[in-house]
Amino acid sequence: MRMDTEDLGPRLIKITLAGRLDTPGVDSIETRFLATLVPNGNSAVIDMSQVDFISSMGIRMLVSAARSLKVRQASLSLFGVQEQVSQILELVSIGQMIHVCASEAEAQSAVRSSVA
Amino acid sequence: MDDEIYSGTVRLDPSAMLGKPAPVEEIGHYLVLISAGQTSRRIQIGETAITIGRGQDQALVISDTSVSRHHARISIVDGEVVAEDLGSTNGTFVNGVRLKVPRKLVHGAAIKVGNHVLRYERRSKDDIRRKEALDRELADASAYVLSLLPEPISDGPIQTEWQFVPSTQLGGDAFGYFWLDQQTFVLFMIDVSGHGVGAAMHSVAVVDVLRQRALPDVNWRNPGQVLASLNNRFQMDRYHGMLFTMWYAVYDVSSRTLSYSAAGHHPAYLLTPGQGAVTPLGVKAMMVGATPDLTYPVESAAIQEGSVLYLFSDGAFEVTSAAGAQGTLNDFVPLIGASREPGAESDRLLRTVRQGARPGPLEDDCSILVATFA
Repeated sequence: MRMDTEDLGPRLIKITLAGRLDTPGVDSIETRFLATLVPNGNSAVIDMSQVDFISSMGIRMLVSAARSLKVRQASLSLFGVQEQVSQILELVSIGQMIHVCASEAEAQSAVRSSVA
Repeated sequence: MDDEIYSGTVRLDPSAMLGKPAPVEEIGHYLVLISAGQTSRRIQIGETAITIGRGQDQALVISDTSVSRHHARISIVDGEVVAEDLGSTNGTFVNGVRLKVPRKLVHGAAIKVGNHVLRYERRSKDDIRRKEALDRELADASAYVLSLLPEPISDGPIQTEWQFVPSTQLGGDAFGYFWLDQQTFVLFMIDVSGHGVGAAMHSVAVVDVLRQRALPDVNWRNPGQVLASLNNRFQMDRYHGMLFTMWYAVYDVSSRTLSYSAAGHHPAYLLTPGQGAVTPLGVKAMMVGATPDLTYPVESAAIQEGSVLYLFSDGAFEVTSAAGAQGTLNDFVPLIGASREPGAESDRLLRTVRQGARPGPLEDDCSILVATFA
């Protein structure tokens, strides 16, 4: 599992994930993922276009981050979600906690409006 | 002179300065037999060579026609582990290369004998002992979860049969059913995210709440209320970050209606006599524990005589094939009802799952529950 980060401005980060968000994948990035976002209450747009599988552990990581960010008035947006992953996210109604957007611009707009 | 120089000086025994020499780590050589979808077997390679074949005189007997009677031999030569083919029909392969002459093995080498794969491991014996102790604890925890699962029901208005195969790490699957009264039957399945004893403990805690009907002010006939109450009770910040998916249904015998809801769980499937396709019984809603005060929609289905309900965990379809392909729900659904074996459907489905899986134990708990409505 690969994770790259890029600062997009004050308290806004872009995270690009690549690989499988299953148990080994989550184990390899979860600490860094949460440490990047939660302590400073950074909102994030997450490029999911290179994630080809997500298990319940991957969902747990995203939900856990979203919960922690909510109390810090920050949020998460996903974009570029592949079809198979999208079906799973839809099944668990992830949209109730995390924005799922078609493009990066839309994802940035979603987190900015939820923080504002 | 030397005595004066050294007077008042503490002289140390070099061995004391270095401390006691570290005990030499005892290394063992092992073969791990990996069979498709089954728990691995570890065999120590000792001074006597391990012969492998279908013949009963072999040290490791593999009863499979893809394996010759005397197929291969693994032995220790000058401290190195060596594999050789014994003139087998289908050949012996090390890391995909067919053996023509004996070959030294390195840790992790995969030895293919017929349709079976053995992995060579060079490991500390202490490591192995720790691993075996951990495996025993996981096996105990698996047995405990298994003891909570209900007995199959072979007669009455609803008959049930099921399979439960915990992964080697133990996952968080659990399921159950019970009569609320003479007319009302409840079925449910949960799957806690993650693996290990922690996930299993959480699933046991949830099952216990359901078995004891320990949710205050809840109408157990209303799946939405049950899930909403469980969601508020099992918020992830109070339970070490645990989330779980759940499918919960209530069957009313007199009206032949099944009411159901789900929390992040894929659908159950209903096979109705005379209908070719199965019907998904699903609800899209958040996993239990993710965030408080969620609502869970309730749907219902009419149940005809002879209808069959299939309820299973994601371990039944999120299976990696020998070729490395990732299985999905869409791969599994066509298996439902195909070549149906009444009374042994869960067993047939599990066999099919195992046949499609890569060698080794299943990656996740696999639960399959089949309920037939009289």
